[in-house]
Order: sequence, then structure tokens, then C-alpha cells
Amino acid sequence: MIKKDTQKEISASKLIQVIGAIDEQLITEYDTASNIANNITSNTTSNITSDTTGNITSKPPAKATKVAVRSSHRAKKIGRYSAIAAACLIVVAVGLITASGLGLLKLPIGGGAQSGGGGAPIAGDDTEETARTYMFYDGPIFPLTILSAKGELNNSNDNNDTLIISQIEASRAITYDFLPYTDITEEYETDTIDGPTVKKYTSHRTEAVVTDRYILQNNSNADITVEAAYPVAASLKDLFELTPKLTVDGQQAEPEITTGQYSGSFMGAWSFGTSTTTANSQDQQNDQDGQNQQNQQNSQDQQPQLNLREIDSWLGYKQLLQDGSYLRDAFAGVKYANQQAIVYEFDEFVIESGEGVNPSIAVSYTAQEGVDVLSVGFHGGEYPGGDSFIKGFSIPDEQRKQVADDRYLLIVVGGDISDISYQGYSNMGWDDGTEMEISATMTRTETTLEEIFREMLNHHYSMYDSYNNPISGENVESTSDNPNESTDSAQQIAEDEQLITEAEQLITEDEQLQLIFEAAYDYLHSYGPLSERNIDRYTEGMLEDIFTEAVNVDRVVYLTSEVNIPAGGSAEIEITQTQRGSHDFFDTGKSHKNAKGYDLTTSLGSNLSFTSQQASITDHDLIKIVDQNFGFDLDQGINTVQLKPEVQYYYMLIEKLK
Amino acid sequence: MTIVGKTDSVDDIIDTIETKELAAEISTYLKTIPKHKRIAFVGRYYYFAELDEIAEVTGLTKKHLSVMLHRIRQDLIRHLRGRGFYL
Repeated sequence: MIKKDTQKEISASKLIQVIGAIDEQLITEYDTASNIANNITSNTTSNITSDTTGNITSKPPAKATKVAVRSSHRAKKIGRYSAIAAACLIVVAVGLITASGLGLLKLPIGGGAQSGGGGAPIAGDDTEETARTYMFYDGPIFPLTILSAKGELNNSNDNNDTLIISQIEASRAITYDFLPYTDITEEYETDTIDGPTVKKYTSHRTEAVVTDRYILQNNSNADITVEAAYPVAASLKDLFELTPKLTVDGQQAEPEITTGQYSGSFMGAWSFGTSTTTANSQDQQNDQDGQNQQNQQNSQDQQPQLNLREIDSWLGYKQLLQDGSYLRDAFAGVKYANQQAIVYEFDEFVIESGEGVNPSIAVSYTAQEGVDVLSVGFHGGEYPGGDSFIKGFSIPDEQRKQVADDRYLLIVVGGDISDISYQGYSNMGWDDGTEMEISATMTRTETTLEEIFREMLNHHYSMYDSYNNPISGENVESTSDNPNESTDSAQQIAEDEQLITEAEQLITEDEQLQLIFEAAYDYLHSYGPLSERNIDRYTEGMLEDIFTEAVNVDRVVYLTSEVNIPAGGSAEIEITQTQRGSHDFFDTGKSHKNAKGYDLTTSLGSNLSFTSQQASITDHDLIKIVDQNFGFDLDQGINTVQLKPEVQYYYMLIEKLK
Repeated sequence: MTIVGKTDSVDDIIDTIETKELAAEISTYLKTIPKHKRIAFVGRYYYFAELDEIAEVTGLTKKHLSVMLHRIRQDLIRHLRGRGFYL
């Protein structure tokens, strides 16, 4: 039986095994393309000839031999690349983790996580404690808020923030532009497994460009300077891809970025629809979930918390933000004690004798209670019992060394480990009789946790260019000849490149890495082995998990900018961002199953006093609204509506016009 | 004592079935996407080729490949989800 504390590694290995078992035709296709490319590249002696039919053929060039060798070596490499597999295909791996535990990979369609209860979406009344849930929920558009204010008000000796902010009135105008729903249709010739075929596809992005504009009116007779904060529901990855643009009085601002903690919670591998451990203030929400869910939760409390449960409806954000603690925590700038760390690094591996399918090293050590051992590069472990532990990794072969500069570290905090020894094995099973003579160098250094953490994070992202992978393609709908056809096109590629450039200009790579470091270091101390929660998902102490998770989990990110409002005058703040349509991946029985959700909140988390809020929609005759509480009537030309201050939440469900 | 990677014979059989089923689905998916994407995917995740090398084979830039591979992974996940594989 696979034990829970090692499932992640086994699943990653399994993934590699699975890809290793794909059709031979697909592998041959790469070999052929690689051979031709190598022929063209070498160009010293032409190996490309035309046959009697004019088709180009290639003779095996020098480099083709390398490919062939690789092909035969591939089987031996199975299981060696868990780390890279986890980095590249972590979502798939997570699926396999849960599936392999019972030896059952298939679940009934509709039984997936967060399938939701269906039924009608929420009415605007914020006393209604139900809401439409989504498998992919992008989060609502939040209102602007003020963090601090400065000004010398007359007739007052108490110029505190609250008093100054009370002198400001705000009006808001938000516009949803559905131009991204424009169809892009192309025809192209492609090689399928059945031969060359002309295909066409039509696709559109299920996104709205949202412009959220505020006029801040200063009703006092003193100039006021405020630090305005604009909350955005996003992961760091989303933020880097879709950075909102903020202007103040028409000038592009360079907002500071402050990240809140993970906004969701955790649940057992087989828990659907309820959480077992709350990451933030969702405890209250659980209290409201009713006895039935409480019963489920009681049983789930026994389950290890292996899965993320991201917020799936606006109520999650309501619970998160309404008491202001999330924002305060985000800006509190928590500093963690910079603990001493002892680092054991293993390298210079030499197989002295013997051979194996997956040569590995198992490091044994003793760790007293209170000593935590984190790792980089290690991807398997045993717990013999007591204070004894074993962690291990597959040693890199020559081919692996060419593609990645792997490092293998044990990072010890809270003391030191003892009785350290290592043993080589021919595979990761570490069975008696599979020992191999493998020599390695172990280096012990003392440093600080922060320093080694930062070094390893930078190393991780230099190896796996994953954190700034732009343009997820999450919100592309296609109506191609083949529904599974992807949506690349020359135009799409050009757009991607443009967006990549824009994103890079807005947040530099150094800034991105700093944000990731702060988020990941906080994540380690909030949910990892060094935290009181010590979530099961991270108990192995593999820092790669923390690095990846910190970038991918949803959170609320705040863009802040200083704004000067002259006495008796006003200032204008405008934020332009993309809201991706929230949706389900498959039919869960809800009404309007194919509709995409777009929503906003009018006052959640904001301390501004609004004199008016209005919403507009620019539909370009591309979409129809199938459900809403805004009051739009596109047929009657009602594209702008006033929002009621007593209604905290507005939503609309959109379908593309045929 | 918990042993990493240890399986008994029943587990081996189940594992083999799972592997074949999933590999078949991944193969099915790959056959539906354009050739240059298949090549990139196989190069990266079967051969663990560097992006430089795949760029040479496909004629695409590394950045484009990075984006494209990301999309393929996402598409693959959707494909598998649609066929009842929980992800």
C-alpha cells in the first residue's frame, strides 16, 4: 500500500512512467523532426535528399544517433525525474496522488471537487447567504479603499486617518468591455496522425476588460494625501500575467504591490465541497454551512489535509475581507525570526560499481523533537520510527546534468541532526540486496534559513522557468473542427508575445522574484513544517512544493499608490484589468451551465464613502446576459445602471451570441 | 516501516492498468493537437530536452515554447478531466 507521506513522489514518478508509455508514433515523430532539424543545422554535408516523388527525406545525421541513444535510454530514466515532473506538471501529479492512493484512477464525471449545489445564483441582497459556486472562480472586482491619509484640517486638533478620510467622497464608474469575446477564425494546414489536414478554428477569450474609475472629492479646505489600495483577487502568477494598470489623474502610476496570504483553505484528498482546515477567516463561513456539512467535516477531520480548496464563490471573499483583518495582516509586514540553518549538501556522485535502473542515495539521520529538516532535491523518504529518518533522491545521470543543475540539500533548523550516513541503491525502493556502491561528497555549512531559502528559490526558478509563464489559456473557448484543438495561431502568438512584453515591463523579474520570496517564506512559516498548522500537504518539507505553491495559490493582492487631493478639489484613479469569466469545467447540473460569471462588490473591504456607483457594459453585440442583478437590458439599450449602496454584490452570467 | 516505492503484486497490476489507461488518453490528446505542439510536448516531457533544443526542432522561440507548453499542459488537464480523471 502506498503511504500518504510518500504519495507525492510516487505519483510524480508514475507520471513520468505514463508519459513514457505514450504511443511510439508520437516519439518517432519527434525523432524525425529532430533528425531533420539537426540535418539542417549541421549543413556541412547535406543529408537531405528528394525522393522520386519530391518528398524530402533525411538520412540519419551524426546527431540522430544521439536521439536514438536517448530513446533507448529513456526507459532507464523513468523515475529519475520526479522533481522536474513535479515542477512541470504539478497539477497532473496532484491528480495522480489522489488517484493512486486507492488504485482507482477514474472517478465518475460530476464527482469532482467543488461541484457546487447548482440552483439559482444569488440575488443582490447581501443577507442572502448562498451564491453560485464555480470550479474556476476568478474573484469579484473589489472597490478601492484608503490605507492612510494625511492633511491639516482646520478646526480640528485631531487629524487622524478616519477624520481625514471622512472628508473624502467617492464616486465610482465601472465598465465591462466584452471585446475579447470577438471571434478569431483561421484556417491552417496541420499534420495529424492521419496525415495532412486543413482545419479551421474559431476562438475567443472569455474575458472582460474592466475599467474601474474613481473620483475622490476632497470636501475639506486642506490638501489631503492618501495612500489608496486597490485589492485584486489573484495568484502571483496571475498578477504577473495580467497586471492591472493603475493611473492617477491620467498618469500611469507605479503601484507598490503587497500580497495577502493564501485566501483558501485545505481539505482531505477525498473531501469535496467542504474544508477541513481554514487558512484564513473562513472559519466563520464553516460555522454557517449547516449540520450536514458539519457532519462531513467531522469525518474529514480525520483525513490528512492534502488538497487545496480555493475560494469558489464571492462569499468566501466576503468572509475573508469583511472584518479588515486580512488587509491589516497583509500590511503588517510580519517578520520571521531569521533562524540559523545547518545545510548538508550532497554532490559529486560517482557510481563505483554496479548499475541500476534508478540509482539513488538514501540519507539516514537522527533528528530530535523540535528539529525540522527541509529539503531540496530529495523526493522520497522513510520513517523507520523514533528519531530516525531516511530521505533520498535519484542521482543525476550525465544526460540529466546537461538539462538541469540539480542540487541536493538537507536544511536543518531548530538544532542539528546526527548519525548521518548514506547508502547507494540501484533504485528508489531501497530494498535489501539492491545496494550499490555510490560515492558522494557531503558538505556541511552553517548559514541562516532566510539566506539558504532565497538561494534555493532563485536556483529553483532559474531551473524551471515556470513562475512567469504568461497567458494561461484558461479562458479561451474554441469552436474548431476538433473540439480538442488548441488555439494557437500566428495572431495568438503575436498577442502572447506582446502581453509577455507588457507584463515584464510592469513588474520586472527582480521584483517578481522578491515578491515570490516574500510569499514563499511566509508560506513556509504559515502552512509548512515550520508553522503551527503544519499542513499535511507539506510535511515532507520539500521546499520545491513551497516555491511552487506560493506562486500558484489564490490570494488578495493590493496595489497601492499615493494620491494627492487638493482642498475642495478631486483626484481621479482608474484601474484597468482583465476579469476572466468564472466557470465550471463540466456540467454540474446548474442553470446556464455554459455561462461565464463576472461580478463585483460595492463596499466589501472599503472605507470609502460613496456618493454614487454606476456600472456600464460594452457588449459589441457579442454577448448576451442570461442572468444578473445589475439591471442591464441590452435589447432596450440599457447599458448603464446605477448600483444600490445597500447591495453589496452584483453579478452577471454571460453567454456568447451565436 | 514505510518503504518508498514498495508495491506488492496487486498494486503492480493496478499500476500497470492505470498507466496504460492514462497513457492512452494522453496519446489520444496529443494526436488531436498540431504537430509542432506534439513535438514540443514529447521533446520536453518524454526526452526532457532543453527548450533551446526544441526551439531548434520546431523553429519557435523559447518564450513561445514556454507559453505553448504551458497551454498544452492546461489543455491536457482539461482533456483528462473531461474523461473522468480527477485532477
